Amino acid sequence: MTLAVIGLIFFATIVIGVPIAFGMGLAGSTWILFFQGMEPTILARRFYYALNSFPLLAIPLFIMLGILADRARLLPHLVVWLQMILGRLRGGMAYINVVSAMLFAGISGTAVSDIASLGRTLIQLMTRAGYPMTYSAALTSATSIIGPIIPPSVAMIIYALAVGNVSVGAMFAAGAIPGVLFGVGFLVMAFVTTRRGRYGVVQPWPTSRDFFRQTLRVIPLLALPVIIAGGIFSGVFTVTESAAVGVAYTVIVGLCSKPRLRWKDVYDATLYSAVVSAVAGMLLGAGAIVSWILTYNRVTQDLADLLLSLSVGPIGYMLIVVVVLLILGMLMDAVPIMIALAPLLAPIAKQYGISDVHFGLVFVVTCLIGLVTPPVGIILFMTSSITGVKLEPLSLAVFPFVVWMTIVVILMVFFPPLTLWLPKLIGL
Amino acid sequence: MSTSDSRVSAAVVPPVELEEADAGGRRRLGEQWARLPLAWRRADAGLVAATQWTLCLVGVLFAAMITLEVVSRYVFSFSIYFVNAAARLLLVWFFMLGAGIALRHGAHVGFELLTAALPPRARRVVELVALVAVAVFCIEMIYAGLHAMGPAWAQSEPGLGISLGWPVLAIPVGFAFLLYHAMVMMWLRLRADAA
Repeated sequence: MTLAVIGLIFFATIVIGVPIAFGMGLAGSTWILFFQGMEPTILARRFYYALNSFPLLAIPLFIMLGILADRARLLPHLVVWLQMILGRLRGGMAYINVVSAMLFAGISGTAVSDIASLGRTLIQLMTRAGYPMTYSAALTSATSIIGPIIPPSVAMIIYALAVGNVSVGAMFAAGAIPGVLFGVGFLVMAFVTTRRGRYGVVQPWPTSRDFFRQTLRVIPLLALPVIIAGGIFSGVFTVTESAAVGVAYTVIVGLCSKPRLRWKDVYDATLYSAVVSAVAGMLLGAGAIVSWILTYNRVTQDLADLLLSLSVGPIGYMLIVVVVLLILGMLMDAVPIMIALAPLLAPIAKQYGISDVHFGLVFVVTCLIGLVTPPVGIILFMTSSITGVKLEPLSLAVFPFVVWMTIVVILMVFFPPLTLWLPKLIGL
Repeated sequence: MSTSDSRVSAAVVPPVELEEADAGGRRRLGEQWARLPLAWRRADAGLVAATQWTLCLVGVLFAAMITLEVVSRYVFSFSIYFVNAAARLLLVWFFMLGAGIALRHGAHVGFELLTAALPPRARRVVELVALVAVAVFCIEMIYAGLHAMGPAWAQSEPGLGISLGWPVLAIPVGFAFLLYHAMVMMWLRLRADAA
C-alpha cells in the first residue's frame, strides 16, 4: 500500500517536470523517512555508497577525454585525413561521418559529447560539400549513437553500476560487433541515399606529400583507442585507469601540438564533465535508494514470479523489454530509464537464464535508440539546436536509421553470439 | 599543389568552441544574474565561480592521481595504495558540487512534454511546484546527511586513515548548495510572475 504511495509521488513529480533524479529521490526518501520511520542514516549511506565507487570515476574522465580530444585538434585532423581517403567517392562526406564516428567511438563514451565535439564539425563539412542540411543533421544524429556502443561506453558503465555484478570490460567487448553492424548499415544507407540524391561534390585526390603529412598528424589520435581498448582488454588497466591515462595522454599531445592546448580548454573540459556527470551521479544516487526499497519490499521478486508464471520464454521476455524500452525511450532520456528499470529487469533476465552481458547489451542499445526518437530525444534536441533544422523534418530524416538500429537489436536478441562471442574470445 | 592546399585549408574546421555546445548553460547563468539584485548577483556569481574552479581542480587532481598511480605501478613497480580511496573521496565531492551547478545550467533531465503544453500562467505555477519538490528532497537529504555525520566521524576511511566524515560530509554540504540553487531558481520564477 505504502509502496503505491511512493509510486504515486514519483509519477506526480515526473509529470510536473521535476528532474527525474529528484523525483525518484523524493519518492524514496519520503518513504524511508515518513512512511517507514527508518533511521535517516540509511538514506544518506545509500546515496553515499552509490557515488563512492572507483568504476564510476570513469564517467567524468571519459567525458573530459572527448572534449579534450577535440580541443587538442585531434578530431579535426582525423576528419581531414578521412576526407583525403574517402573524398574521391560520391557520398564521401557521408562515409566520413560514419567512419569518424566509429573511430571516435573508441575514445569518447557518450553520444552527447560526440554531438557537441565531433558532430558540429561533421555537419559543417557535409553542408559545405553540398549535402542537404536535414540529411547531414540526421546522419550525424544517428552516427552519434555508435559512440556509446563501441567501447568505451559511459552508458554501459552506468548500466553495470546500476545492476551490479556485471563486468564492464565484458560489456565493452560485447558492444564492438553491434557497433560495427550499426556503422556498416549506415554506410550502406548512405551509399543508396547519396547516389539517389546525387549529393555532394567529388573531391580530387590529395598529393601524396599532403597525405603523408596528414597521416603523421592523425597517428596520435589513432593511438588513443589502441591505448584505451587494448589496455582494458589485455588487463593492463582497469576501465577507470584507461580513461585517466587517455586524459593525460591527450593533454600531453595537446601541449606538444601547434596551436597548444590552453588552460581554458582544460577548465572547460572539466567543468563540462562535472555538469554532465553530476546529472548521472544524482540519478545513480537516487536510483540506489529506490532500488534498495524495491528489493527490501521484494517487488523485484514478485514481478519476476509474475512474469515467469506468464510462461513467456527468454526470447519473449527480451522482446517485451525491447518494446517497453523503445516506447519509454520516446518519452524519457536513456540514463534515467536504465537506472530506474535495469535493477528491476536484469535479475528477472537472470532467472530466465539469459546471460548478464547479453541482456545488458540489448538493454543499453535499446535505450540508446531512444536518444534519437521523438518527441523526447536529447540528441535530436542538440542537433536541432546546433543546425536550426526543425524537430519534425529531422525526426523524419532519422527514421530510416532508427529502423536499422531496431533491426540490429532484434538480431541481437535472437543471436546471442553477436554480443557474447567477442568477450568469450578474449576471455572476459 | 595550390588546389590541394586550398582544399585542405577549407576543410580544416577550427575545433568547435564549447560555448556553442554549452551555450544553454552559460547563457542561462547570464540571464539569471541579470535578474538578481546587484548584491545578490555579486555574491552568487562569486559562489558559482568558486564552485566551478573547485570542480576543475578536483577533476584535474583525480585524473592526475590515477595516471601517476598507473605509471608508478608499471614503471617503478610501486603501487600508491591511497590513490583509489582518495580519488573516490574527490569523486563524491565532484558529483555533489557539480549537481548544484548542473541545476543552474538546467542540465538535470526531466520530462518536460506536459509542462511545455500548458498555457503560460499554469506552466509557471507548475514549474514553481516542481522546484518546491526539488527543495523538499534536498531538505530530506540534508537532514539524513547530518544524521549520518555522527557515526561517520567516528568511523575511519580504511584506504586513507582519515575519518569517514570527510567524504560523507559531501552529502549534506552538496545538498545544501543544491537547496540554495533551487531557491535562487524559485525566486527568479516568482519574480517572473510579478513582472
